[in-house]
Amino acid sequence: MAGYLIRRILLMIPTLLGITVMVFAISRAAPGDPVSLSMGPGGQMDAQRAADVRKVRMALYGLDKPVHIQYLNWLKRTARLDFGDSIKHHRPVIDLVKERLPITLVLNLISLVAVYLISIPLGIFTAVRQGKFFDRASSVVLFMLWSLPSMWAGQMLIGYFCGPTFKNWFPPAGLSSNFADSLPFFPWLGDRLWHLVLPVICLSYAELAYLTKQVRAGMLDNLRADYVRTARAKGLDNLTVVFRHAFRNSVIPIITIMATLLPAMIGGSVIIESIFSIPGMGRLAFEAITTRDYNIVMAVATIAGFLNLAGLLFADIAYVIADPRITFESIE
Amino acid sequence: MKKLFDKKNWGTSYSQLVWQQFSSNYVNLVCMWFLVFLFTVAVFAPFIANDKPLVIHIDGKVYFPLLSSLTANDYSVFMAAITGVCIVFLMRWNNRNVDPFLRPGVLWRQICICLTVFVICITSVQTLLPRKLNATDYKSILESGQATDGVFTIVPYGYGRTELKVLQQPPSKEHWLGTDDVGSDVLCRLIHGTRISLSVGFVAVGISSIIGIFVGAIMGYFGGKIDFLGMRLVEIMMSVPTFFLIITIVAFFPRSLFNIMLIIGITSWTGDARFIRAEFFKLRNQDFVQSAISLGLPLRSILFKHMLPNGIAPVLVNITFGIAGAIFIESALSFLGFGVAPPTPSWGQMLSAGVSTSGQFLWWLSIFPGLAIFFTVTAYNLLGEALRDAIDPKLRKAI
Repeated sequence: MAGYLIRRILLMIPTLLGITVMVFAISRAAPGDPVSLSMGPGGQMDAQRAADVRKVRMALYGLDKPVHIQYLNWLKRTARLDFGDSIKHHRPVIDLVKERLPITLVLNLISLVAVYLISIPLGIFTAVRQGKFFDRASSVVLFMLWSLPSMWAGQMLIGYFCGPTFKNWFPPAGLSSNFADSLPFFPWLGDRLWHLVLPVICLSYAELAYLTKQVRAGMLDNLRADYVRTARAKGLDNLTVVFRHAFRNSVIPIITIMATLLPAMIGGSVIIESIFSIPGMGRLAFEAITTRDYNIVMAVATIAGFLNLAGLLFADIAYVIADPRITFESIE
Repeated sequence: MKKLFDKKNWGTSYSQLVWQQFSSNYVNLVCMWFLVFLFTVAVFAPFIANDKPLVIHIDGKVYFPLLSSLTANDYSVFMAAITGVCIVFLMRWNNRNVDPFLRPGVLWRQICICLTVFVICITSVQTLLPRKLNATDYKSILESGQATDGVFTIVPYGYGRTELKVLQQPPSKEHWLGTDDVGSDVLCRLIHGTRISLSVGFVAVGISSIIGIFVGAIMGYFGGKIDFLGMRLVEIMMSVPTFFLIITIVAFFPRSLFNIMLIIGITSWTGDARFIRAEFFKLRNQDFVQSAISLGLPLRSILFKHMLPNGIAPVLVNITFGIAGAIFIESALSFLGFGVAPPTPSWGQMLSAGVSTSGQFLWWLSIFPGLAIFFTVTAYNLLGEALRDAIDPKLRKAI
């Protein structure tokens, strides 16, 4: 197992390098460079002086070197988690990320847990009662949820449940109320959860619909299998057949889906965080783009890529744990 | 030979089988007709919603302001629509009436003829039309009595107009779906926004499927080292969170509609590439491919003429889902403010006006564009599911 993990992590390195090359290439291929941006359109300086200043500044930022040297320098800094300073906040990007990343991760983890907690029982239930009214109704509803644009859902939820016009049930923005810091633990937790209800709903309903469909399809396949008929013929009760025989074999695709759910959610949190004004990574990226804070944008893209890879690795490990027939050697 | 041309002996083709399966469910047909309706709206948008009248009398002369105000953009949309309609209808007509050996050449010539006729028609109409009027507000001209008999379109508003008198009004008799934050008619903007959304879906997915098919075909055909390198590339593209990558690129490059299409296309080709690669792995060892190779046919002929038609089916399904995804991404980008610039109507951008700057919730600015996005995305997704079931039920698990 240790050998596999090491090999797997080593294989991640070229992929991660590829991601950084791509992000770096995007930033260099873009028109304009930081120096001319910070110098503005100019006008007051004469041309010779402007060119001199430009030269000095280019040397200062290391932009006068060839592209591959620039990339290596950038990589060296990035490997030390030094993403440079934010232009807007005048602070190291890594500090901002340290503040914001936990919020996004917690938000996504809560959503992921909610998705799995709801969709697995729902998928099993609809598969067992295939073709009945509940199954058909839920599949229509889930299909609509799957295609529902999350920004619209978020806006409608805020509009109808957070405003004075209709119902004023939930807070429209932020993570906690103004007075939250002075509260004891449990009221504080309640306040936090109260703020998280709508964002978590928005972040998870599409994935919920998708996962439920997959669970249902997997269960249907397994419920039709011969070994389930055998189990029933042995006289086992329905619960045992469904959970110990059919469900156990449907677990594997559910785990692999996790690897695809996580990146979709992290991407989706850009939209959700800016609708609900939650100060997470998505919001950070959104603000960085609107203010052209390049260092933050590149840091966020790199970190998100890394998180993605970690998610894939995690899914592979879970895969092996879930199914004893699969060994680490046989995945490759 | 004569027996071959007898239609009774042609049998049921694969596409006919797919069509039979597809049309057996009325939901699929409803979706299809809904999309046809959307396309009609998109193509004829200037004739449905326009602030210029179709016909107007000024000083005893007749003018056609709407016709003379059509832009090159409108004409290119018409040409594309004509080409599309020609392909669909003439192909069916040809299948019934032209023998199989002549079909491709005939179709090509028919399309050229149709387009030439159209170009001749519009040039003659444009030259015969009376001089252009330099008016912008025909309604006030009509009210002031300088002109008579103005015939307007169903929705007599323009999408780029600012009317400070009617800011943020809920639906009324004059404005069926209300007005937005600069006083433009919501229905009119919705109609013109159809063009943006549908064209983003098509162009973005066109780009991504071309890249995906090309890369996938090369990986699947050659295998070995090329395949290994290609798969690493696919892996990298898959591990970058697409939405982050897209907004990163949007941050660095100038914002325009084409850039958005290009970016969505470039970041979403991995699915197509993997499907084509898997199909080509299977096809590579089949007899017809081996014989094509031994005949010494050029590579592009082997890959795209012989192998591709046999391996395209899963990609077609992926394309349908991809269009839904591209429309969704475009509206999300526009919603966040990274999309097309404001006077150009886009559904996502209209949605973002749903909460006014003072924090008020304007329900008509949220519901109608939202429903438009929702219905379009749902129609494409349903269509994708139906196609997948019709093309190959085994794919059910793969996508």
